[in-house]
Amino acid sequence: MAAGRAANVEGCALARDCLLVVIGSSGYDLDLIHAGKRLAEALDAVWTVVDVQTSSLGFMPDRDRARRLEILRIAASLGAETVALHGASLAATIADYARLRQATKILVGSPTQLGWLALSQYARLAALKRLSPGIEVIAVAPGFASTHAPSPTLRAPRHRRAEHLRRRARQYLSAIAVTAVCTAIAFPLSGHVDLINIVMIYTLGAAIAGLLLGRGPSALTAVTNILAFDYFFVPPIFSLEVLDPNYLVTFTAMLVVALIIANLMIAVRERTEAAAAREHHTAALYAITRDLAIARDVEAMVTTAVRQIGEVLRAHAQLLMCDEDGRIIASQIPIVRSARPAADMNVADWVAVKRLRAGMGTRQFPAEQATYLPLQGSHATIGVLVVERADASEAMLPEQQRLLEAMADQLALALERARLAELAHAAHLAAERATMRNTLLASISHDLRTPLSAIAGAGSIVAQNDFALDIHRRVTLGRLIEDKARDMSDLLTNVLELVRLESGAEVLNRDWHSLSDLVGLAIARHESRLSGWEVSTDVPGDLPLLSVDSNLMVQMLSNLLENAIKYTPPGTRIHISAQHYEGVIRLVVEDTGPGLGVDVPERLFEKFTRGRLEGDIGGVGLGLAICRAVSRLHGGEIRATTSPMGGARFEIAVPHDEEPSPIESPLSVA
Amino acid sequence: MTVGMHLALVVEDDCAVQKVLRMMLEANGFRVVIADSCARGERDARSQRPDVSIVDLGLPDLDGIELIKSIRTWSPMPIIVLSARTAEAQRLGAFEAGADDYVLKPFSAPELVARVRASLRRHVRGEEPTGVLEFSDLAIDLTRRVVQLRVGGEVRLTPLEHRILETLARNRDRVVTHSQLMKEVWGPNRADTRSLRVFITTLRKKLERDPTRPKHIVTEPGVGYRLVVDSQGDDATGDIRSSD
Repeated sequence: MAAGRAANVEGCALARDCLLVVIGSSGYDLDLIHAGKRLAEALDAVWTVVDVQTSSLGFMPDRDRARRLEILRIAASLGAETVALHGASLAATIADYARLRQATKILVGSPTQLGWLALSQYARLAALKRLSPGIEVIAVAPGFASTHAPSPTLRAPRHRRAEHLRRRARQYLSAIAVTAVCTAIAFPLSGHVDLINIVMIYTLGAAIAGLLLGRGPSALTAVTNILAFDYFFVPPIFSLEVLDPNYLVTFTAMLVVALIIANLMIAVRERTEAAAAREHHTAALYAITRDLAIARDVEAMVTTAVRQIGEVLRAHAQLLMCDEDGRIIASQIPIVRSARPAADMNVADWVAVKRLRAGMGTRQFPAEQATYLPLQGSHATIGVLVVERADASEAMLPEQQRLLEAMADQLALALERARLAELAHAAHLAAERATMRNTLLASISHDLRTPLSAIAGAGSIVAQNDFALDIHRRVTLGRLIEDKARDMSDLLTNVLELVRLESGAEVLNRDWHSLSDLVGLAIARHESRLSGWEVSTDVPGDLPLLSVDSNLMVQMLSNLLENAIKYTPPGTRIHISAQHYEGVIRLVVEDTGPGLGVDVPERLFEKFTRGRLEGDIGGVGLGLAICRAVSRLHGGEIRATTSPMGGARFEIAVPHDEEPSPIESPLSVA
Repeated sequence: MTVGMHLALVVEDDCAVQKVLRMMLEANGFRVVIADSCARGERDARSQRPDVSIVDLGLPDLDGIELIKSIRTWSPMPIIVLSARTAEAQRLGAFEAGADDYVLKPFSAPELVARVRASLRRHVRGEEPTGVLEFSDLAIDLTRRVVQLRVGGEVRLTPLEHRILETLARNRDRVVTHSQLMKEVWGPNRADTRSLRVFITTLRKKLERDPTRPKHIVTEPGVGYRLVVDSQGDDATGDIRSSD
C-alpha cells in the first residue's frame, strides 16, 4: 500500500490534478463532496476529502461526530480518499497537507451566513489562500436543493438517533444541574462573602461543565450561570432586573470567560481522546507485529493477523492467498473464514492483478460492502485481505483505514519473509542434492567395483578346473564371495535409504514401537557377524513406546552396530543402552574399541566422510549420514563422543511427546 | 524328512537364482521343479502336487502375490516368498495373500533351507495345539494358562496375554500379522498397535531370558510376530505333547 500511495503522489506531481475537498467548515459538506466529485471527474483528478478537527478557541458549532463519519463514508463510497487531520489552525493544517500531497486545487465551502461566523470564515479563506501559493482555492456555494435539508442517506438509523437524542438531553439537563449546584453552594454564603467570590464559584462550575460536557451544554451552563447570578445575587435579589450597569460588564466577562474555559477544556479532552485512540492503534500495530514475528509458519501468521484485524476494527477479515504469479489460488479453502458472505472473487482477482485497493472506501468498486487490500510482495501480490465491518453502516474512520493498511503491510512483510525463507531453503536443498548426487556416483562406482572384483576373482578360481582346491580353500573363497556380496547389498540398502530420506519428511512411516524390540531387531540383523563381539544391552522394559519409523530406526541402529564391527577388533565389548529423561529418549551405542580417531566428530555425520581413510575397510561413509538423517527426521539429534568405556560413543536423543494410552493396559487386566 | 523325498516347486525367472536354489535344495534332499512364470507355476503346482513352494514376487507375466492367492484357493501347502522387495507394505501383502514365510534376497542358503523345513514340519504336524508347548528353557501350558520356567518356577498369564500367546501358538513358526493378532485377541475394529506392543513386551518379560534379544516371540518388522518353536534344525526342543 505504501507503494500505491507513492504512485498516487507521483501521479499528482506529474500529470494529474490533485484535488483536496475540505469539509467541516460549512454546513453543506455533502454539496461540497458532490462538487468535488464532478470536478475530479472532469479533470480526471485524484481527489481527497479532508476533515480537519481544530482546537482553536473560536466557539465553532459543535459538529456531530456521527454526521461527520457519515459524510466521510459517503465521500469514500464516491471514490474519494479520506483523511482526518488534527491541527491548531484550519488554514495552516490544510496548507501543509496540500503541499505534502502536491495538490493543485482546494475546494472549500463558501461563507454563507452573515455575522461574525461569516467573518471568521472569510478570514480563514484568506489565510488559506495566503498560505498556499500556487494552489487554486475554490469556494463553493451550496446547491439549492440541499442547503438545509440533509439528504436521506445522512439519516442515521432510527434507534441510534433516538439514543443520541436521549444522550444530548441528559447533557443539557446536567448543564442546568451544574448551575443549580453552584447556586446551592453560593446562596448560603451570600452576605458573608464578596459578590466577586460568588462569580468565582459560577466560573468554576462553567469550567467543570466544559470538562465533562459538550460544547452546547457548556454554553448553556455559561448562560444559565449568568441568569442565576443575576436572579439570586445581584440587587434587586429575586429579580432579573439590574440596577447597577456595572454588572453588565461582569456578566459579559463571565460569559466570555466561561465560553473560553469550556472550549479549552473540550479541546484538551478531544486531544486526549485522539491521543488515546492513536495509542490504542499503535498498541494494536505493535501486537500484530510481535505476533507475526513469533509465528512460525504462514498459517499461524494469517490466523494471527486475521484475528487481530477483526478484533481491532470490529470487522470480519479473511485472507485469500495468491500463488507465485500473484493470482488468487482458485480452489482454496481460505485458512480463516468467517460466517459472513464470501468475498466477491471478481473484485479480489482484480485487486490481485492490479495491486490496487478496492471496495468500500476506495475509488474502485466503491459499492462493495467490504474493503479489498492487496498484500504486496516484492514481485507479486501475496494475497488479498478482505475486510468487512461487523456493522456495515458504520464507516471506517480514516485513522482506522490507515491502521488497517499498516497491519496489512506488516502481514505482507511477514508472509514475504516466510516465502523467501522457503525459497532459500528449497534452493539450498537443491544445491546440496546436486552435489550429493555427483559425489554419490563417484563413491558408489568405486565402492561397488572393489567387492565386485573380489567376487569375480574368487568365482573364477572356484570355477576353474585346473586348480586343485582343497575343501578349506573352497570354503574360504565361498565365504569371501558371500561376505562381499552382502557388503554390496548393505551398501545398496543404505544408498536407497538415503535417497528416500533426502526426498523429504513425508517418508516417515510412524507407528508405536518398543525400543527394546527395535534394538533386538538391529542385533538380529548382524547376529552371525556379531559372534566375535561381546554385545550387551540395557534397555529397560518400562520405557514408553515411541512413535517412530521402525525400518529407519532399525537401519540406524544396525548402521551403528556395523560401524562397531568394522572399526573395532573382535572381542570388543559393544553396549547398547537407553534412558528416558524429561521427555527425551536417550539411546547410546558405545564400545571399548580404539575410539573415533578424528578431531571433529561432527564431520563423521556428513555424507562420504569416513573416520579412517585406509582402503581396507569398505563403505562410502553413508552409514552415519543416514543415522543423522533418521534422528533428525524424528526430531532428534545424534552425537559422537568418546565413551567412558574407552571407545566410541554414539548418543541419539529422540523427543518423546506423548505417553501412549493403550486401550487396555496390562495392569488393568492383570 | 524321513518319509521319502519332498518335492519343492521353485517359481523364479532368474537363471542364476534358479541354479542356486536347485543346487541348494537338491543338496538338502529335495526334489525340485522349476517354473519361470506364474502361469507355469500354477500349472506345475496342479500337476506335480509339490510339498512346498518357493515363489519370487517379480515374475514376468503376473505378480507372485496373484499366484499365492490362486494356490491358496485349493491348497494349504507351505508357500515361502523369496523376494528383494523390502518395503513393509509389500511383505504384509504377501502374508495377507497367504504366504507362510518371507525370505529377503540376498538370502543365505542355510537360512532358507531351515525355513523351508520348518514350514514343512508345521504343515505335517497340523494345527490346534491344546496341550503343553515345550521349549528348551520353558514350557507353556495352554490349558492352565501357566508358563513353567526351567529356572524360576511358574509364571501366570493374564487372560489377554494368554489369548495372544494362544494365537501365536496356533500359528507357531508362522508369522501372525498385527491385524490378525488384534482381531483374534480384541475382536474386530479395535486396531491399536500400541496396546499390542505393550502386551508383547510384558509377555517377553515373562517368557524370554533376555527380552531385548527374544528367542521365542520374534518380531517380523512391520508385519507381525512369530512364535518360534523350532530352533534351527534342532527337532528335539520344540515338540508339542498333545493332551488328547
